[in-house]
Amino acid sequence: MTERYGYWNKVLHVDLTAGTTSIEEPGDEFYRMYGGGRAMSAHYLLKYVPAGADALGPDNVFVFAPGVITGAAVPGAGRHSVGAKSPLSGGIAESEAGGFWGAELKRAGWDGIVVHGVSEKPVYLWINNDEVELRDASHLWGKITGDVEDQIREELGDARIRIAQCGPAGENLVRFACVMNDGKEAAGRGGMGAVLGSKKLKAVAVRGTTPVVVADKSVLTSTAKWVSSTLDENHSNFSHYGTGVAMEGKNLDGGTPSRNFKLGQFDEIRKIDAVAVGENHRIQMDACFACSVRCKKVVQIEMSEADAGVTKKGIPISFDPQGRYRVDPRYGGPEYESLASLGGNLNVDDLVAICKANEMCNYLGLDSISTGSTIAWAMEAYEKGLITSEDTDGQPLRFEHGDDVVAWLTKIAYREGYGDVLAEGSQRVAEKIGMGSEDFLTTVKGVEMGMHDPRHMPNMRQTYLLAPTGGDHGSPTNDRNGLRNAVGICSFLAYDDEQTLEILKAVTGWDVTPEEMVTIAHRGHTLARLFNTRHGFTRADDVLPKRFQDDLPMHEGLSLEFQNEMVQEYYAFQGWDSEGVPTSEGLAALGIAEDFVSLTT
Amino acid sequence: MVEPANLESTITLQCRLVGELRRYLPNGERGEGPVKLPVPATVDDLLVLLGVPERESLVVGVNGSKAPHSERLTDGDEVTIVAAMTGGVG
Repeated sequence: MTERYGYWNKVLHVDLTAGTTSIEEPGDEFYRMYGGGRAMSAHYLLKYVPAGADALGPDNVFVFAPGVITGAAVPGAGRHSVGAKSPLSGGIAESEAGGFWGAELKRAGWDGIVVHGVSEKPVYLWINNDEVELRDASHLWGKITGDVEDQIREELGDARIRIAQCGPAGENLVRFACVMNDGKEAAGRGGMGAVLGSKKLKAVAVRGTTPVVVADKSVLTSTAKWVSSTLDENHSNFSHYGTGVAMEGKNLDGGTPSRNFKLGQFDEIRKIDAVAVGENHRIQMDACFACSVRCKKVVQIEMSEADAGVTKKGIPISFDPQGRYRVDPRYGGPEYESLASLGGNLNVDDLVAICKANEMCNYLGLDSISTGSTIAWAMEAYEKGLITSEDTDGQPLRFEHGDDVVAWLTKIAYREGYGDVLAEGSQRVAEKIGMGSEDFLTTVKGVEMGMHDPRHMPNMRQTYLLAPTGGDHGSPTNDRNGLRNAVGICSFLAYDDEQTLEILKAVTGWDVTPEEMVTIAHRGHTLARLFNTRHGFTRADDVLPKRFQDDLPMHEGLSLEFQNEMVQEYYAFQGWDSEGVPTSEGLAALGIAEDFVSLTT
Repeated sequence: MVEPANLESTITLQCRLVGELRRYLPNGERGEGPVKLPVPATVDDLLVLLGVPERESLVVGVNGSKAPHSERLTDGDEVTIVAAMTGGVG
């Protein structure tokens, strides 16, 4: 038997319609070609999801895809990816998350899960090392994420089980529902929680006890020591504050998403950045699997001073001076994207309400970016009189009002009243109500953009224009992040390309070259593009929303001519034709012509 | 207070270093405090005095507006220094 490092050559297939499971052994070449992540997801989605398939129907397929590095004992190796056809965009959705779940799946002996079909009744998948079982989840249906974690661990009798799941939002097919894992980690983008909900797959619970076998442990040990001994030089802000510590700099630079991406600055930014979170509401920083950077904020807020006190470690617990909200630390704390989407872009400076909204997104299973941006769009429509209080049953939609944001989250997740309309995502609502409301959308391919304004950040222009997942800031269109996505390593780690190559070699034992690493990334990009082409996307979809043609006070708008030039350059770089369609020659150069050449015509 | 060796012809700035940068203002409570600089002084002179590394990746505000590193500073200016790290994209 060939010695294998970093992967097990085992992918689990689950047929929910039949209630059966099977094991695929894809072979060593498969792992060397795809690595995991988006490339692996796209492979299975192209293979199994027919053109025109309903994203919320039985023909969609859901892929859990860690990478070959996921689960190895090295900082940053706690990433996994999920993929499916998106109910928000109609194209490919792929979203990454940190935490421990992906590493646990690898430690259970699995390199990925491909979920087919639809279950008649709610179920959850229980993976206990090599034992796999579909279990009834009727008693979990309707419950929030924290309660589901508690109940599964209790009924299976193991507190160390790791759980990925859709929340109530996913059950209710909110088109931007996310998949939560480990209570506070989100594979946020593209409505993947709704896909799980449509399949009536409430959760995937995993327990794994076998460490991932690596080719050269000493390299990983020295890399881990390098990370932990150079935190001050390389990860200081991440380590002490997490994401969102630079919001004031972005604001000075005129690039803050503000009032639905209209203004570029928000005067109260200092009240809501990661420094403010750290000084006012944070009780600790938390880590993902094997990572010494510990960039995850944990926030706790009590309703009153009397309830507050201190943590077991003596850290003071904050309270809401207005006595409105309690924020449970099990749901972590707001990352930059949530601080901006649920705060700054809504001109909300109420940090307690922002922390509450973030907690609710995590326990309801809502993507905080699409949720915040759909609300931002709706607030502008409300301000312009295009949505009225009659439409909303009297619940206001006002910029600057954190309580309004909190109130809408439950309505959206449970599709109550006008929340049922907003649960479709901003683009579908704008298409429905018209009246010029399309002009202030912030969506690409139907997906609300991340909180990085491309007028301010040049490196975001290509990402938003060309990410196959639409307005997704984390969707890697470049080689560096494309590779990291495929192999399962965090883009926050300050590894240079040489270190990433060393880690990949040490984990897998492959004699991999820098050129081969780039090719892995290109395969992911090309397969995702091929999926979108197959599902009706054309060059016309590679465009930014109209709002981003407007100037900001400090930054010029991005003209259609400028956008077109950038798109054409990227097509050429990836070896696609002038309409952005991957060519048979391009697929041959990537070594994937045999499987997919029929899709290029 | 952070001071240069030669105090003749100096200006005093009110500085605020955000996040982990505050360690470069050791006596400044919560990253805030006065800094004396000899004139003429630019933003870059201030960053050199404070010993902040990777100066090119910093965003500096003077009296609430973004300022280039070549900007001349004057007595009483309020200077904010932020590292240009963004979330979500590494």
